[in-house]
This record gives sequence, C-alpha cells and structure tokens, in this order.
Amino acid sequence: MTDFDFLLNDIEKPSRYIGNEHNIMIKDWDKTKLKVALAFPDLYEVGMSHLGFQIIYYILNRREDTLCERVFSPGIDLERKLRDKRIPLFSLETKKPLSEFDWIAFSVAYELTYTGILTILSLANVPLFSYARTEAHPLIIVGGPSVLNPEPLADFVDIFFIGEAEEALDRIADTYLAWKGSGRTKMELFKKLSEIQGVYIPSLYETDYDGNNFLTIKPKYSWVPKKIEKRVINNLDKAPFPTNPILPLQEVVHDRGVIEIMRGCQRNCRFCFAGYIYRPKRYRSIETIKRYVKEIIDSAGYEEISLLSLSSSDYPEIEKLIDILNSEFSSMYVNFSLPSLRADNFSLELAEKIEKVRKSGLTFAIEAGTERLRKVINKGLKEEDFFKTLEIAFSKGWNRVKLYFMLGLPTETDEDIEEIVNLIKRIINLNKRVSLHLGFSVFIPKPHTPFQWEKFEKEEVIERRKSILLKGLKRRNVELDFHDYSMSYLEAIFSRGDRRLSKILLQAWKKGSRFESWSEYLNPNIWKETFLMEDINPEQYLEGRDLNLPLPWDHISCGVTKLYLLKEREKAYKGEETSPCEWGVSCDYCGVIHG
Amino acid sequence: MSGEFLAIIAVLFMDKFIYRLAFYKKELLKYVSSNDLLSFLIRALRRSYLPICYSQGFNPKPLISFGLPCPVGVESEQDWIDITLGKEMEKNEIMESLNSQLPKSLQFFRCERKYTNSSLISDTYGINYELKVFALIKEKLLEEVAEFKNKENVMILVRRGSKIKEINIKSFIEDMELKEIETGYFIVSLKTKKIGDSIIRGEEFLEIFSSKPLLLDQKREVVLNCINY
Repeated sequence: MTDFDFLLNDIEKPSRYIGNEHNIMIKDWDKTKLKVALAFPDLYEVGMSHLGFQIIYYILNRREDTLCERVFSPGIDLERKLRDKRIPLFSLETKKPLSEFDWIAFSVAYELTYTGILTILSLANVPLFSYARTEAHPLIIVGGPSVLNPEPLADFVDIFFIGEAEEALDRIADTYLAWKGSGRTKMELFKKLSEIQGVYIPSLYETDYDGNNFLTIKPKYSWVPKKIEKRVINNLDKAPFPTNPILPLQEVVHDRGVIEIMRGCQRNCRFCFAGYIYRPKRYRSIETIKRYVKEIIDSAGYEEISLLSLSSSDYPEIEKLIDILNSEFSSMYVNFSLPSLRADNFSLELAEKIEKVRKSGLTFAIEAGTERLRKVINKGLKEEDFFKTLEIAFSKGWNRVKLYFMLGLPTETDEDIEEIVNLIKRIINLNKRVSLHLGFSVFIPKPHTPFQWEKFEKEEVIERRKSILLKGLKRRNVELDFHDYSMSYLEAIFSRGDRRLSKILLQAWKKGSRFESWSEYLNPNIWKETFLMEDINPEQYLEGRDLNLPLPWDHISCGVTKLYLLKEREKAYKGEETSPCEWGVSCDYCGVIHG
Repeated sequence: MSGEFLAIIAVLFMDKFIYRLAFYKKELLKYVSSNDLLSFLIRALRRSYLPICYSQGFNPKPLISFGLPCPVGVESEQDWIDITLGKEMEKNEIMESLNSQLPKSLQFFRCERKYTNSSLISDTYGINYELKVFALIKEKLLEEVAEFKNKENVMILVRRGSKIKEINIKSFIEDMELKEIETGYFIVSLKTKKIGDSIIRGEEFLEIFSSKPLLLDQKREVVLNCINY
C-alpha cells in the first residue's frame, strides 16, 4: 500500500483525486520554465464540467515552456485528512505540492466558490493574504466571469485577469518568465503586468468608505491604470479551443463534449450578467465547428456533444449547422444538444431536428409570468407566441415541459405571481397529459447589468410569493422546485460586494463554511454570525443603490457604458423593450466595440 | 435440437460477432467505480473505431457487457467484458486497437470469439483474491486460520444491498493459503466460487477473525468456467 493509498482508502469518491484521465498532459518538470497549478475552487465533478477551465489548461499546455496541472477543492473528508496528516494539497497530474508551482491560477465561475480559494491556498501552505506573500511564493492569479466584480477577493489575490484569456495569457506568461530569476522585485513584475489589458492588480489600489457607503477606489501610483478594460478576443473562429478535452474518470455534472459555437448574446435581457459581460456577439464558423466535432469524437469518444451558446437559436444558419452535423456524424452514434432554446416555434423545429426519434422534453426559461414583467426584463416573449409554440409542441408529441422563472424581479408584485398560477392552469387546459416541472430562482442584481442598482428581494416577500404558487399549483402533474433562498442571498451579497467582504470570507471560512453552492453543506448561520462579529451589515449589499453613488466595480469595464445601463434601466421601468442587437443592422450603442 | 445449438445458429445468422476479452486494472485506476469504468471503456471503444454493434430502439447503446463489478479500491488481475462487433476480426487486432486507447494500468491481454449469448455472470466460476494484511499477534492469526480450515461451517454477517445476511463463508471458499511476507505482514490467497448468483467479497473473509487484521491491499481475479462457448 502506497502513501497515496493510505490517503485515499477511506475517502469518498477517490477517483476525484487520482488524475490518470485520458488526454491529460504530463510534462517534464525540469524542462519547463513556467509551472502552473490550475485550480478550481469546487469539487472535481463541477470543475471538470467548466469549458473555461479546460480552455486555460489547453492554452497553457500548448506552450512548450509551460506545464499546467490541475487541482480542485478536496471534499470535506480529504481536507480533514490532509490537515491531520499534514500533507500539502497536490496536483492531479504529477501529485506535486502546489507551493512548488510558479502560479496557482484559479478559474472562478461562481461567487459561492470563493471559500474554496481559501481552502486550496491554506492546504497548499501558501499565505492567504497577498501582502504576506513574497517573491518565493506562487503568484495567485484569478480569472473567470465572477471577477468582473473582483473586490470581495481583492485581499487574497495578486492578479485578476478580467475578460477572455485566450490571447492575453501568452503575454502574461512571457512577462512573468522575463521577470522570473531576474532578481527583480514583485512590484517590478506588477508594473510590467499592469501594462497588459485585462490585468488588474488589487494591491495597487486603495479604497475609501464613508460609513456604510463605498466611496472610491483609486490607484496608489501614477503608472497604475485607473480603469481596467475587459479583454476580448476578436476572432472566435481562430481562438484556440481544446478539441482533445480531458475525459473525466468519474461522472461529472456535464458529462459530454462541448463546442462553444457562439459567444455573447443579442437579446439584451436586462437581468442577464452573461448577456452583458460576453459582448460583443461572435460566432464560430460551420466549417470550424464541423472540424472540432470530428476532432472531439476522435480524441475523446464522446457520445454527446453540446453546442454551447447563450441562445442557440440565434446562431446564424443554425438549421444548416444541425443538418450538416447530423448528416456527417449520425452514423457514428453521436447526439447533439442545444442548450438555451427560446420559447418560439423556430426552436421547436430545431429541437425536432436534434431529437429525431425520442421527444425527451422541452425546457424554456420564460422568467416571468406576465407579459408586462417580461417587458421590464426585456425577455421579449409574447404570451400568444408562447402558447402557439406549446400547442405545436403538444401536437407533435412533447408532453414534458420544464419552465424556469425568477422571483423578486424589479417591479414584481403578488399579481405577477398569481398570473404564473393562471398561466400554468391554461397550459394544463391545453394538454391534460402534460407533465410540468417549474423551477424558481430568486433574482440577483448583478454588476454590469441595467439592474445593478436594484434591490435583492427580502425573504418574507419571496416566501409569500412561494406560498401563492404552492397553494395555486397543487396538482399531480406539476412539480415545483425552489432554489435555496440563503444561497441566493449570499450570492447577491458577494456579486455586488466590496473589499470589506474579504474579512467576512476569511472569518466564515475559518468557522468552517465550505461549498456554499451545495445545499447540503451551506450553513447560513455561520455567515450571519460572521457579519455580526465583523460589524458589517449585510443588508447594505442587498438594498437598492443610489444611481448617483459610485459602485465598487466602477473601475472595471466590460465595455458597456454606465450611461447605456442607466438608459436601459429607465426603459425597464417604463416597460419599453430593446430590440435584439446585430452589429451593422440594429445597434443601440451600448459602448462595446466590434472587432 | 438443443437450445444451445439454436443460440449458436442465431448468433451466426445475425452478422454479429461476440468477443470475450480479459483485462487488468491496476494502480490508481483501482479507484474508478464500476459504473464509471463502463463509460470509460465505452469511450475507449468508440475512439478505437472497432465496428461495435449498437442496440436497436430510441436510445441505441453499444453492445458491451460486464461481469461482476469490481469494488472501488480493488486491483484486478483479470476482469472480463463481452463486446459485439459487426464484423469478424483478428483477436490481436481487437486488443491492439483497444489498448492503444487505454492507459498502461488498464490493458486487455486475452480475447476469444464467443458463439453463444451466455452472460458473463452466468459463466463466472468464482473469484480469486489476494489480500495483504497486517496482524499484530501472529500466533492468534495462525490459530484462527487453522480453526477455520477444520470447521465445516463458519457463519459470518455480510451486507447485501440494504440488508444484512448471515452466510456460511466456508461454502464459498475452495482454497485458502496464508503466507508471511515480513514480520506482521501476510498475504491471504483465496479461491472462492460463485454459488447461485452470489459471491463473497475479499475483505469479508477477515470477518472470521476475532481480532480483525488490517487490510492493506486487495487484488482479485475473475475465473470463468471456460472462455469460449
């Protein structure tokens, strides 16, 4: 029995920690100059489902002078054992302790994984705070969609990367390698790195507060950029993409091949964080997608490939794409899936093309029960059209329908919720055999969206609205599923948080909070106690914000101007819609530059 | 005409060629659960472009079947799968195609053409285990082993699904040997047989001891009645 066996013999799902997957890249430690531990602050099965994580792994490993190995948050049982036995956290590929790497680079996709960063750093024996780390410690780099508001993590991180890393990573790596071994200070490295668009070094900025209110964030030195512009790749078709993905050895959340066919979305849904931060909309060509499908089948053997985008039916020539993929690959027993279909007839035709034989089920995120509220959020779905779609779907044999809604949207009233009940009753009248699954999440005001100034709804209001739904929809064929309120509550705080939340994170983590995105692990009491103990009122992060006051993420730009967001917000309150954007056809001048 | 003969005719006429393959699974891959191993092998098969047959119907699945699942943490010297191909192929070619898609710690080493539809589980004779254990008091261990050998019935409690059952472990064990490899460390070699559809797991043997030795390692080898039918 090896030491590794002693570590894993009584651990849940040990295959999370063994590496050894098909397509992993193991390079010669002594022959590579830059050594990166790519970390995901959640469990293996979550991290391995993230395309962004696999993209970074691929980009770094394609460099001859660089090796990139993976690490994930260990489960509670392994964390305890590592601490008891004083074993440092290790990479999956070569089982090297993380402190031996040059960088620990985190891919952060969700606010509720922030404590995972602290778990990984502490198990790596790396000081948690950036000020306590010297040139001898690994550089802590964090990227991913959540860091469009990086401030809650500011005290722990050396470098944030804002935006799309496909091109900039090479420059960051080159800059680092020119510095490594030169004997120069970390500050000199920071000075060089801060010249790269998308790099944000939080220790070079200072913040100011007026009581509860955030006042300013400004550079400490004249050479530090005042504003950080999100990095965007202009040509998605030519961007590097991993067609030799690592094949997980255990079941993961999304166990299939993935091709990102489109980045960005034209629909301007006002609540949608992704819709604003991934602008402008860009596509991969049919030719490239076809080639990638072939390469993924050859290298991974996947039986399903998901054609990923924020709104599949908006991919130009999507029908042609599906026809081509079907005719080329159906003999190889490959299924394609299209996430995020709009609730219109065109989407039904697409769903039919994809599920030629079996009608498994339809999923539509209609978000709100009334046309009025859908206009506020710019969901752009007319009730009449929705019912027409359902009628056709039922006549074609789809009987299982999933609908997603949000509760607590701006301007929402109890009447809007009662209308959801009526809507569902009308669907059942249309088809008595229908089986409906309704998912309800709580609206979270996200930075960089027109709703970034809105309040996060109070629990009693959400509870009241839940009871309207539960009372009104007690039916055999209707299943209701409500997202955990305390989870959304924490996400709302950290989404719009400032630097003061770093100490909340640290204290809650010290009290044992882990895996907050898993309802079985989330302990809201720890967080309540921590806010009390640190004398920070969490409500300040949840209330509606004054339009004239500065925001903690004002120094980060995703390209969309604040003026545009304000204009959109105004239109929301007037119930005015914004039409889909298409560069050169219909543009509302959000500020994002098309390449 | 016997049923077996009819089954052979059916298989011959369907243009389907069943192959029974043996593989080992060692080192860290012992931590992969049997369900995960199934999709791991299916994907390796798909990458190998062997002409695997698929089931008919709404949701076609590759025709591949496993025998008795190997528990997490147990290395396997010999486990089996049956695969159905749409064309006759050289046995070595099949193994080479598959092995090129698999890591060194999981490789196929035997392949036979099969002419009936009998399942791997029904064709399993038993499982040989090799347990590496540590025992603090050697004399006590040897005494209890001798006692076990002399008794006709040795009843132990085992978990089967959500139930706890009492079984006579002696009836499952055909042969047992104990060898000391260094002070305190022993290798227990067991030859067990399947009774009906039930087997015993290697570590269940340790239930016979009043003071249970510490299990350090476990290997298994699945033995079939015979290979081609």
